[in-house]
Amino acid sequence: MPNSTNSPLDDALAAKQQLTEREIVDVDEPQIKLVIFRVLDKCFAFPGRSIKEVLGADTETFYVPGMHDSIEGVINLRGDLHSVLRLNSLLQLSESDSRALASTSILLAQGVNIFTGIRVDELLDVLDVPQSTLQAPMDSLPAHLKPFVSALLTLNERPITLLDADLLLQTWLEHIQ
Amino acid sequence: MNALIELVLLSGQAHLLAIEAGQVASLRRLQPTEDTVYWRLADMLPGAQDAGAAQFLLELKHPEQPILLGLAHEPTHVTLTAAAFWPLPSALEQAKQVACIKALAWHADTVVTVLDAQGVSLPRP
Repeated sequence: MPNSTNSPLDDALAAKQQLTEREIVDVDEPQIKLVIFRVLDKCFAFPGRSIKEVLGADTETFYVPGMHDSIEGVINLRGDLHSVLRLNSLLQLSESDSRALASTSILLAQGVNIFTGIRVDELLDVLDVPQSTLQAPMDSLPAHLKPFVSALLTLNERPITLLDADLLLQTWLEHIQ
Repeated sequence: MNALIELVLLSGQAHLLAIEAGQVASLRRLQPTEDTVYWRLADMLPGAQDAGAAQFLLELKHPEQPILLGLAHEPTHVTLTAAAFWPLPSALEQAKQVACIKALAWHADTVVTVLDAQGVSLPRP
């Protein structure tokens, strides 16, 4: 805040000093890239390192019969076929509205033994956040989320659940057996 | 990757299915009066639907006994290069509900699910 006894130059220099200090803090703080998305009204994120590519809603998906219900189908991406799955069942959420397909995305996720597309209702953002904004999951976290939730954070007053892609895919494999 | 692979294509559904031609013993038209017991696609593969009454009988080779598959549409013979085939992506391999789903192929701008007749579980449901 400007001090009434300071000259305009003093105020300007003080403001500049504050800005510089803030910039220094920002540079020093370890950052993590997050891919933030929505499934129904819940917001989740994957670490950016787990997501190799994001595909738009116009990516055609082909149904494959005889699969678990969580499998949506396959996509042809530059000549290679990749699976696409939905997380609603694993997250114990009801089915997403198929009429809202135009706003959806497919996240290509890399686990230890699985490379697959994951359909999300909406890609909200891809951004770097300070690691200090991540909070350890609370003990009250629902039991079905505990195996693959690595942290919680709040961005713009919106609670976001950070998912470990590899643990999530491992849990999905157990879920479909 | 230039080897040629012959398939019998089962069309007439929302999704294409196929069986290696070497696993097919015969194809004939189903006579309206005959009371042969046969499989439908949904018996082999949950989620597969063959619209309409069976008009054709496809005889598949199986280690235990031949499988008669009733089809509404006449199957066709196609030849694809080996490059058009993929093993099931690992997520699909884990998520498949029946053993007879063998591979995927790309043909006519769509995905073909390739079935393995020898992986069909007997007896008929």
